[in-house]
Amino acid sequence: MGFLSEHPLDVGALAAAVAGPGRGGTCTFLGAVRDHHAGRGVVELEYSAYGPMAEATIGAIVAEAERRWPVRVAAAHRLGRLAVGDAAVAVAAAGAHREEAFAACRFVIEELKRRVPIWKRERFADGTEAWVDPTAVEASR
Amino acid sequence: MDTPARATVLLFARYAELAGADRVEVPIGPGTDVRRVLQGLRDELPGAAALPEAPLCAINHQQARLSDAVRPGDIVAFLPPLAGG
Repeated sequence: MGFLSEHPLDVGALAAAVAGPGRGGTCTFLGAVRDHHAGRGVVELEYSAYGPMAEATIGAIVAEAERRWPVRVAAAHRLGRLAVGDAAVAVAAAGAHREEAFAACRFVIEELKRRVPIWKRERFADGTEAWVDPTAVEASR
Repeated sequence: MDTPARATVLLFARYAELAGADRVEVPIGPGTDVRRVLQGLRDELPGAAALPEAPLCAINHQQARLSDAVRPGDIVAFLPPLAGG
């Protein structure tokens, strides 16, 4: 299963992909499109990516997580136009116990946001559009 | 006579919009680094003048530095601030 997808994300399928008889704890994270950003109403996001680099980078992040904790990890990110409430990103981490599952899941979503080359363009309720620049809006979230 | 050595430049999201192109072929000489490729883009594409002095960049799908050497056939990418998730 590829990381980038043009189709709706299935967090159940991600959890199933990391399941195993010895893995009793599975932690999933689902990130959805929210209806506001920096005080403005958002109606739609359009995601794009640098595909080969995004796939290679998430592969490296998952491998780092699986080295650091005794877990299996899977992640997926949606591309294209998404409406409010649509799932944009999903991570599933499974280990013998919840501690490593929570830790690995948190690690992967944070590193994904920091390192994977994906961009999003917001369409606001007033009809205007803008590229999201987390380095510029961090202070006004 | 060989054809001039070239590299491919990829631009994404806001940078592609500013430059008016998402893929450009550029000539590569001895000692060309990523910074020189960026300067060449600014000279060729008026919109690329709006790119920052030190954007995130990659060579062959791996994060790189502006001082890294660019070789013929390389794929150089300039990346706006990442916004996944």
